[in-house]
Amino acid sequence: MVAPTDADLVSRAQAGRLDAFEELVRRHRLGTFRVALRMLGDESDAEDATQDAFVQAWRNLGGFRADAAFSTWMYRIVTNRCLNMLRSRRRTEPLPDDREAPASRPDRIAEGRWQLQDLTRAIVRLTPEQRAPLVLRELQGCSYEEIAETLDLSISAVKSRLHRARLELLAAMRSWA
Amino acid sequence: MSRVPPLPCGADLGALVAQVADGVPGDLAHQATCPHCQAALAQLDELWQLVDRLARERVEAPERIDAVVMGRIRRAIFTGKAIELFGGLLPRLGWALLTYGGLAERGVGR
Repeated sequence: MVAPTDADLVSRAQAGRLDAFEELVRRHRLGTFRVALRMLGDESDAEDATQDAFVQAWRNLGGFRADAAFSTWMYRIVTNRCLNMLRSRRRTEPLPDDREAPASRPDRIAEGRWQLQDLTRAIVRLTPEQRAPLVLRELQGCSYEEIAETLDLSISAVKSRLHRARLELLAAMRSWA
Repeated sequence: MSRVPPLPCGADLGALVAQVADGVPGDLAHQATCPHCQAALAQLDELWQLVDRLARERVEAPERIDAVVMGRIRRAIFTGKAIELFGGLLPRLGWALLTYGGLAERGVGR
């Protein structure tokens, strides 16, 4: 039997079929969680954001356009959820990573994981507005058009924010040396 | 678009970033002999290799997310139905009590 497409499942879920929506959650759990994890830098917060995003998706399912990809729609919802969490976090607490000194360069060269952790830290230190296009483009492989739709921005605004984010990462990398 | 100063050779660092990250064609003839561009490109290559590794890094999304999400949705549906059911009855019950109270006060039915 051919597995139903996302569009089939969305259509059934819009008709009230919970089992269809459960299958959508199962299919898109990883992609949605990955975006949240890269945006927030914390697994527990990413899990909360993913759960909230799917519940919100269920509530707004009636407004989902059939011509859009469900994955792009989920990226949009979870990214906005993360941006809201980051804005409230910024108002209430400092980033824990700000207190951590980066590992010394010889250590990083000897141990590859440290390099990834340094990069992850540098991404978390980007402003949320720079971080979102960077995560979607570099880590999720989204096109500029998909990012523009996800973030409700023009393509030129996406390119501009992404450009600044990339330069910030380069500056962070140079500061390690 | 770039607010960083150009390299000592005059090359735009932003253009080098776009070359490495997006595959935008660069001035290969100049870069072949320019130590500034070569150093910057080497750093960018190192950075983008790291970005690629992070993009390919295996991530596990907790499977319990499915159950938690569906549990929240089922509770929301149940609560919504309960409100729909009892929310409609409560005003009628209140009206009936008020009416009964008013009638009793006037001694109707004694």
